[in-house]
Amino acid sequence: MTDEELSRALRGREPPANPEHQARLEEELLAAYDARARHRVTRARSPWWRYATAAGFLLCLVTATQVTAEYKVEVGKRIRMILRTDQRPPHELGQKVAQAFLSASSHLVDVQVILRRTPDGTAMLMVDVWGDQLVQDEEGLERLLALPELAGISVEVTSLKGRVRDNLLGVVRHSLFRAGASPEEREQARQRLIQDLQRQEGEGAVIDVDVNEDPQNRQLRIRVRKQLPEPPPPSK
Amino acid sequence: MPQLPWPLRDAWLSRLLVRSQRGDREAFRDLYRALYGPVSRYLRRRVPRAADAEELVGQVFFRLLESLERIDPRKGTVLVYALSMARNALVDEARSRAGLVPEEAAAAVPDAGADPLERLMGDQDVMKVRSELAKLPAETRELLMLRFGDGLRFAEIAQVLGLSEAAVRQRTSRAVRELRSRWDAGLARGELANDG
Repeated sequence: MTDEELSRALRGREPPANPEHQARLEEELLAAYDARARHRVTRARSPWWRYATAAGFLLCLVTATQVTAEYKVEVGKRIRMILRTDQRPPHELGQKVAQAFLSASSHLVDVQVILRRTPDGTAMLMVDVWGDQLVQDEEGLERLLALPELAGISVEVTSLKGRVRDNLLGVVRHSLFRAGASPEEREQARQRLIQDLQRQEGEGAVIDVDVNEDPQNRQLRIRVRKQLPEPPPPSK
Repeated sequence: MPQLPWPLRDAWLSRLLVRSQRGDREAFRDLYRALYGPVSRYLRRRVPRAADAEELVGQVFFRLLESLERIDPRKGTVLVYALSMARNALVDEARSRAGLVPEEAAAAVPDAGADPLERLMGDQDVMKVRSELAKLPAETRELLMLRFGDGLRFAEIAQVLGLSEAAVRQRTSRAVRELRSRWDAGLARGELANDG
C-alpha cells in the first residue's frame, strides 16, 4: 500500500465546493468586518480622551500657578481690656496674656503692650501677641478669664491678620489645609475652587478636586476632563 | 489560494492576516478566499451532509473574524489556526448532538461514493484500505486523515492536535506500519484478489 493509495482512500469522493455558498458567506463576512471596523474607529478615540484629560490637567495647573490671588493669614491676637478708673495694669500682664494663647506647637514672635487712657480716667490696655499657631480665641479667652489679675475686667479678643500674595493654587492650598478650618469651611473652599475652574474651562469640562487631609501626607489633586477638538484629518 | 510552496504560502497568509488586523478590507477578503478552500474541504470530508458542512464553515469564519485581533501569526500558521477552529467547531457540533462522540467526528473518514453504482465502480483497493482504517482508534484515524487526507505537514498536525512534532511523527509512522502489515496480511490471504 503506497502513500498515494492511502491518500486516495482518506480523501474519498470529495464533494464539489459550492461557489454560491462561498460568495454568500463572503458578503456576510465583509459586512461584519465593516461593522467591526466602524466600531474600532469609535474606540480609537479613547486615546484622544486620555490626552485631553492630561492636557486639561496641565492647563489647569499652569493657569492656577499664573493667576495671582491673595489670602489672609492669622499672624497674632489682639486682646483689649478695659480697666477701671483707679485700676493699674497688673505686673507683667503682657507676658501672662501671651502665655494664655500659646500651645506646644505655637511660635511666639513678639508681644506689644499699649495702654491708652481717656480723659474720663478709664484706661484701655491693648496686648498684641504676634506669633504662629496660637490657640483659638475661645480657648485663649477662657484661659485669660481664669487669671486672678483679670478678675472682673472686660476682655475682648480679635485676630490680627496679614495679607499674603500668592497664586490661585496657593490660595486653594491655604483654604483647604489651614489649621483650625472646619470641615464645612474646607468643603466650601473646595466648591469655590471647582466653580472657579468651571468658569475657566467652560461648561463642558468635568472638574474633580480631591483633598487628602492626612496631616502626614496632605495632597490636593485637581483633575479636569474636557474634550479637545478633533485633530485635522491627515493630508493626502 | 495560489499554488505556492508552503513557506511562501504561510508568509503570504500571515501578511494578509496582519493587514486584515489593521483594517485592510481587501486583505481580509483575500484571506477568506485563501482559507475557504482548505477549511471547506476539511469539514466536507468529515461531515456527511453538505448543508451541515456549509453551516460549520460559516461558524468557523465568523469565529475567525471575532478573534482576528488575537491571532498571532508568530505562534503558528494562519492555515493551521483556521483548521484548528474548524476542528473545534466540528467537536462542538458533535458534542451538541446526542449519540455522537466528538473524537469520532474529527476522525471521520469520508464516504467513497454516494450511490451504490459509484461504490461498485470505485477502486476496490481503496475500499479495502478504508475498511482497515475503520478498525483503527479514532485518534490514529484523525492523525492519518490530517496527514494523508488533508495533506498537512507533521508540524502543522502537531499544532492542530496540541502534540509535539516528534510525537506526531512517531505515531503516524507506527500507524502506517500497522496498516501496511494488515494490508500485506490481507494480500497473503488473498482477500483482495477475491473481493467483489
